[in-house]
This record gives sequence, C-alpha cells and structure tokens, in this order.
Amino acid sequence: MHQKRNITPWLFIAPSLAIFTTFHFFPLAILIYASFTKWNLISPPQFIGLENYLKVISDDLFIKSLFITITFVFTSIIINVILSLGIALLTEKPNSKLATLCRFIIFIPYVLPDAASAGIWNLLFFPHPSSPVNVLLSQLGIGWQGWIEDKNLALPTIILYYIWKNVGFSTLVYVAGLKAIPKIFYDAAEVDGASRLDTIKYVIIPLLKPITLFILITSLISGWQSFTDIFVLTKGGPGTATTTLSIYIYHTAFGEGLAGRAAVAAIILFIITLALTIIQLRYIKSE
Amino acid sequence: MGEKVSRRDYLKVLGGTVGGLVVGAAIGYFAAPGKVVEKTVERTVTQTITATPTVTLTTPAKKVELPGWQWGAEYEAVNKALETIANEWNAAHPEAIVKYTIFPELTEVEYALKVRQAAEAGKPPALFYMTNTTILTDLASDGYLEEPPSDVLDAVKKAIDPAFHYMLNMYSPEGEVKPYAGAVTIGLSACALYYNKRLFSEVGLDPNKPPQTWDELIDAAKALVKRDSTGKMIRAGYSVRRGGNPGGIGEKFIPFAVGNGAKIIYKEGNKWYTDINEKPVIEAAQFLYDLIHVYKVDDLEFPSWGYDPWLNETCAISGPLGVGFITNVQSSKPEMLPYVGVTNVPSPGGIKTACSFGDLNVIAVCSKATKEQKEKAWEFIKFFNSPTNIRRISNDIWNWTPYKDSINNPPFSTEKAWQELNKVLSNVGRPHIVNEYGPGWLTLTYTLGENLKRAFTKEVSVKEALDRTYEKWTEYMKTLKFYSG
Repeated sequence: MHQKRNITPWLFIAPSLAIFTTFHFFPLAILIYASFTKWNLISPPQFIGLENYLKVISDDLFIKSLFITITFVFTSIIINVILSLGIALLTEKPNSKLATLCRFIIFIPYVLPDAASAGIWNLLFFPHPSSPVNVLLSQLGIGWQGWIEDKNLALPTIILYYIWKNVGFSTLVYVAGLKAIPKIFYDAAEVDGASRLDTIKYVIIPLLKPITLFILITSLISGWQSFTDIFVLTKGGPGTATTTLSIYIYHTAFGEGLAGRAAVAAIILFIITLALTIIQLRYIKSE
Repeated sequence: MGEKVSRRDYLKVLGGTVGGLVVGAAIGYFAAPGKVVEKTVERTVTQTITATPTVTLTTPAKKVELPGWQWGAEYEAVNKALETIANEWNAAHPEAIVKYTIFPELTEVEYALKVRQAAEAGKPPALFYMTNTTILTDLASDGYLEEPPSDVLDAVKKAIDPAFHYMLNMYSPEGEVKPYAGAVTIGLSACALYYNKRLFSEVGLDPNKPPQTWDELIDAAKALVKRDSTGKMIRAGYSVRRGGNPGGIGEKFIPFAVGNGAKIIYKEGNKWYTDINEKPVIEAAQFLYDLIHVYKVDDLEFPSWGYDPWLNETCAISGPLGVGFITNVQSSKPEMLPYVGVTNVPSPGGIKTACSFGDLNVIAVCSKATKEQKEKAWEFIKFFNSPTNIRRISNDIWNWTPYKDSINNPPFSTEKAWQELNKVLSNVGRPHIVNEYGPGWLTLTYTLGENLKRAFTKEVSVKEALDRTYEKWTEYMKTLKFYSG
C-alpha cells in the first residue's frame, strides 16, 4: 500500500536544518575543498591535489603540536576529574554554608570569559619576581619562576590554568550526582561495616560512572579545541612549547597565509575529536 | 473529517479575495503621496522669476558618510587627537561625516579580508587609518587604494620633509611604486635602539658612546647585565625580541639582517627573489642567538622586551623600536627622559651599513568607495594636513611625524632624546620601508618570526629555521599574483 508522505516533521526541523547546513555542513565542505588547494585566504584557491596532506603529515611542528595537545588534554582531564571528585566529596555536606561558599569560589573561574580569566592568570603568574605567585614562592624559599616564559614550565602552567578554570564546573556536576545517590546505598554500606574509603570506592565511584563519563566527554572535546586561553596566555610559545593543534591551525592559516595546509590540520583535528566521541558514546551505550 | 467545499463557494472566496486586492492596490496607488526625489542637485541654482526680484535658491548638498576603518590601537593621546580632528571636521562639514571604527579584535589578515568582503558587498570603508602600512601595501597592490589627486599629493609632499616622501609609496597592481597615502599620523616602527644613559654611567660605560657595531653591542650588553646571588637575571643587558606577535619578531630582526647586507626580497629582471636563508641573514640570526645563549646578556625566561622593562630598568638596551618609544617615556615616566639615549641598530659596518625599518601610520582612501565619498575623503585629508592639525597630532603630544612643521619645532628640535633620534634617522639615510617590499609582507614577517622564535629557543638550528622560512615564503609568494606574475 502506498504510504502518504507527511511533510509536517520536515517543516518543523527545516529552520534548524537550514542553520545547521549553513553554519556546519557548508563550512565543512569548504574546509575539505580548501585542503586540496593552495590558498592564502585572499587570492583564488589553486587545486594542488594531496600536496597539503603530504606536507602537513611530514611537518615536525604538526607532529609536535599533536603530542602537545594529547599531553595537555589527557593530563588536564585526569587531574580535573580526580580533583573535582575530591572537592565534591569534601563540599557535598547539605546545609553547610562553608561548603556552599567553597563551591561558589571554585566555580567563579568557569563563568569568567576565557580572555578575562587568561588575563587574570597572566597577572598572577607573570614571569617576574614581583608577580603575586612568584612573591609567594620567594617567601617560601623557592626562587621565582619564569612560568609561561619558561619552555619547561609553560605547558604545565597552561594545564594548571585549564584545571583552575574548569574544576568548578566538574565539581558542581559531581555534587549533583552525589545528591542523586539514594540514601539506601549509604545505609547498606554502613550496615556492612564499610569505612568511608570503602563507601567511596565501592559505592560512590561506581554509581557516579555516568557522571564521570559525561565530564570526560565534554572535557575531551573542549580540551582538543581549546584555543582562546592558550592564545591569550602564550600564543603557542615560548618557541612552540604550547603550540596545540588549534594554535598550529591558526598560525598556519592566519599567520603564514597557508590556509590549505591549515585545512588539513583542521580535518585531522575533526577526525580525532569525532573518533574519540564515538568511542566514548559506544562505551556509554555498552554500559 | 472536514466539510467538503463546493467549487462554486471556492470560486466565490477566491474571486472576492483577488478583487479586494486589486481594488485595495488601486486605492493605495492613487492615495499614496508623490515619490520622494532622492536625487539631489549639488550645485547652486539661480532662478529668475518674472516681474519679481531675483531669488537665490540653494538646494542642500547630498550627505555622504565617510566610514574610516581603523586597524590597531594607537597611543591614547594620538587617538584623542584623531578624534578631535574628526569632530571638528564633522562640525564644519555635516554633509560628510567621518566615523572611525576600530577593529582591535581582528588580525591584519582578517582586516584585509573584511575590507575585500565589504567591497564585494558594496559597503567598503571610505578611509583607511592604519597603525601599520603592511595591510595597505597588500590592498594597494590589489587595487583597493585610490591614488591621491595631484593637489592633495602636492600639499602632503610640501608638508612632509623631503627625506620621507618615499614613505607615501606602495606598489600598484601593475607593479609600479606610487604614492597612495594621503596623511601621516606617526612614523617609523623599528628604527633605533634606546639605551639607559644612567645605567651606562653606573657600569662605567660612556653614556655618549652608544654601541654602533655588533661587537660593541656585545661588550656593552655584557657589562650591563645583572644577576642575583643565585645567578638569576634581574637586568638584561640587551633584549632580543622572541615572543609576542611573531610578525613583530620578524620585523625587529630585519634591520639586523639588512644592516649585514641582506636584501630580503628583491627583483631581478621580471622575477622576485629572496635571500632569507642566505649568509647575511643567517649571520644576523646567529648574532641574536649568541647574545642569548653564548654571551647570556638576555634570558629566555626573563621578561626583558618592550617599554616597561626599560622604564623599570630591568633592561638596559631595548629595540629596534619605533619613534613612539620617546613619546611613551614622556607619557608614562617623564622622569626617565634625561636617561634616554638613542642609537642606530648596530651593524658589522657601524653607521655606514646601519638600517632602520620604516612603517608609517597613514590615512588613505579606498578606491571602491563612491565618487562622492572619495571626493569628500580627500577633502578631509587636506583638512587633516593643516598646520593646526599637524601640531595636534605631533608637537602637542610628543608624537614624531615626518612633517617639516613638526620635526623642525619643539619638542623635536630641542629635546635631547628627540635630537638624538633625528640624528639616527639622518645617519641611516634611507630606512627600509615595508611599503616597498611589496604585498604579503605581513605574512612573510609572521612566518619569519615564527621560525626565529624556534631557533632562539633551541628547538631548531638557525639555518634550519631560515630554510623553513624560505620554503614557506616561496610557497606563499606563489599564491600572490604580484610575485608569481
């Protein structure tokens, strides 16, 4: 039997489909096309086949920026998850004004605009003996540090910044997760004689698994794409010590005028982010 | 189920609707007021009415807006002066309102892209006000800049010291060097080194004998460097630019390379070449590398670059920096003015081969603006170049510009630091002006800076950094019609 085609659902999704096509699919198509061209963003692009792909893959700075991104993302995410869970456990007490105040203070950096929070961080960690953090270190007997000017400390400083900025949000999500755990589980653990550590290990952490996965997925995607903070803080330097993939893409396209090469790097970044998201989503489904 | 509508009823409704629309449209048409005539007559009409005295009717001139797109933020004092000039013009010329828009968030390349898109959309700016001419060079060679009318050009050439006339030039789309700039608001970016005379005396150096050669710079910087008991630097002898905007790193390096005989970009016959990875450039980059890693007059971790370290005496010699350095000292820490010493960018041959790097902040007119806008824009530029306004943007606020009225009068003609700077500028003769390197210069210096910072932080060797620069420069230059033909 011939089924009548219903266009009503299509009409409902048409506006968002149009927006999505204009701002997502269309730029993606341009990006893919650009990756096969020699293009300086201004003059008309010239088709050059796979040349950009070969150049990017053999560019040691691209490989280095890939490793810097991996180090940045995974280190900051792992520390962020552990730290936010710890803070959430310490500040979950209901009706405690001190706990609420602590959570509020920790959450502030998250709501600040990226450029503003990076600016604040820059002032705190300015590589000079007179900056607040360096004064503190000097008083503790540790000499002042070059932080973002020191090629060995620049990446750890950026990681520290990322954690400072995002730990508030993760903590808030964990606190919400903790509040959703039914009291019966705690009671059962208490009846079984479980210590606080046992309760955390065998009750809380397993029950918070979906929350942890949510934090992992969102942090992973934002970490891979993070640009503004790093750009404001270091511009990828000193040297290329903090040149992540997104900074590499920016430098190549808007600095060096090689938009075709930058498009290749952007496609690789897109594929990696997509693959990681699919893996995580499949894992959640299987759970 | 819905009620069935008969064909007759359907036709009734349809006919009624169509008829109503037609009648309504007819009433609307006849009842509407007469069309407003948008075309205005710009000349004065003298009309004689029979048997009555002669009456002069003046129709208002057509109003035009002159959007001025400003790239980069100026010194506050310069911005204020620019605003005052625009406001005065607007009060006297309500028919041609100048309105500046600053784009601080855009990179130079993004700005150029925006201009092109606006022109394609039929809404280009009328005026360009740039704090560097590298973008204008690109736009000029792409046909986006209007050549000044002869009266404007004559006036500006008359006002500017002849030694700096060439600074108005840029490459045309046909590859000819022509003047495109109409007014100048500040001059010369990387042209001199600024040393602290007090510190020179403190360490036993003659404050009136600044370093002129590379060897002299090494000796002076070694004497001036200061470290604490743990060996950490507390004062740099000389600061090598290796951070911040990569374009700035490249730009500050060029005078060293050119002073050592490099041509950077040059044309032979019909072809363009670069010697960016050849001996003179390699030696210059190696010299700066050695200042950090061999002579240790600057530490990578130590924030030594810019105005503040010089003002706070955590750096003894700064530069190459533009003429705005002295303006900055005057406005931020005037008590330091007596200690400002100015010298040319050292070169192996001393003053004979010294070079400075010119980059004027100029006002130009967009060729894609309307005829009326362009006419008014040039009138505004003439107004801008009046002696009163020159004084406002230069002498009154200590802002060096190449106008004769400015440089021949106080403070530029009397204050010691300015006198030394003027001497440096005349010593080096013709500075290397970015406008005449051709389009894409901004991108090229960015790539150079990006690779130099890798060399300075020991990620790659100096030679390797410059080879990479060469590879990327040639690839980029091939995308520009100007170079590839």
